[in-house]
Amino acid sequence: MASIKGRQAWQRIIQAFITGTQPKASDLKIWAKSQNGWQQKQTLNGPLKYVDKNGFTRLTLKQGSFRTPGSQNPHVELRNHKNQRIDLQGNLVSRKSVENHTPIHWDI
Amino acid sequence: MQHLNYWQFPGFEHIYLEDSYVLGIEAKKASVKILLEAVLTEKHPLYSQPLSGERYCYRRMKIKFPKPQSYNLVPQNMSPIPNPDGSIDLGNIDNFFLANGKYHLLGEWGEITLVSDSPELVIDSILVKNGDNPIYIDKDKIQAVEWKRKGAIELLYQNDLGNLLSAHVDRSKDAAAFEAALAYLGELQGGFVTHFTGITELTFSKQ
Repeated sequence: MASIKGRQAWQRIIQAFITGTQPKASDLKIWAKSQNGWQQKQTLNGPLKYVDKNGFTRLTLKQGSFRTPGSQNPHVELRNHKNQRIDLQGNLVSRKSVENHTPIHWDI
Repeated sequence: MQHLNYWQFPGFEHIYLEDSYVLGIEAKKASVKILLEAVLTEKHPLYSQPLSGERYCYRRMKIKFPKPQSYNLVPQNMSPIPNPDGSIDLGNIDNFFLANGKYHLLGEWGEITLVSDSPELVIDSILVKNGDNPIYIDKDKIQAVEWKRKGAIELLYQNDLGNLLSAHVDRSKDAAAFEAALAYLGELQGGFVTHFTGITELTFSKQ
């Protein structure tokens, strides 16, 4: 069960999605931290990840790189409890799809 | 202490591994290979506009480490990630660098540390000429080879858009091409290079 802070963060994320603005990385981080059994992991210079108790990476925050056009913008990648990639609405998406690279506002 | 990031390696300047996907890892005495669906940057010679609905320009490639002297894989979570199309992958390469004479690769799948000759990026596709426009077909997209009749070969494959196409070569029309096609079907042994002219007309030539 997510905490109140976690639920509020998720509401802001969905609100941003509905209004066509970019969700904040900080809200995604608050929401991920509030999930039971998820652990934060990050290698040196690697993306910020949250891994569930089954070892599945459920959320990845990527800051992007100016080396690659299209990747200079930060984005989030999500997976469900079956390790399947999903968008913010929970729809299954393929790895190469635009929906698997949801743009976010990097504020962390 | 020497520390080089992968994009400083010759041949790796125009790929982006952090959003590329690991499809498999092959470790043999002669070489270690990482199978990839690689993201190409705009300056890569094979770059084209991303396909509709896709984030980047992707190509099937392999990172090959020739003559490995030492190799250590520490698997972390080798659970394949399922995709709606039925394919699987192992996630991205988060870090790839050279430090103290050792190559290091890290991802959610684990960590590889190895000492080898300089890594190479190998394109895992065949060149297809559609008129004046060259396109590349991933070898693993070639789905079937059928003998329509004795002395003719029908090759079925998918192009980049996922459309099933075919190419035909007939012994009676071009014996040399037919022999070359046979060599190709023998898993590209014998130094043959495949060239298609047009989208359904197939020619083979020996390099």
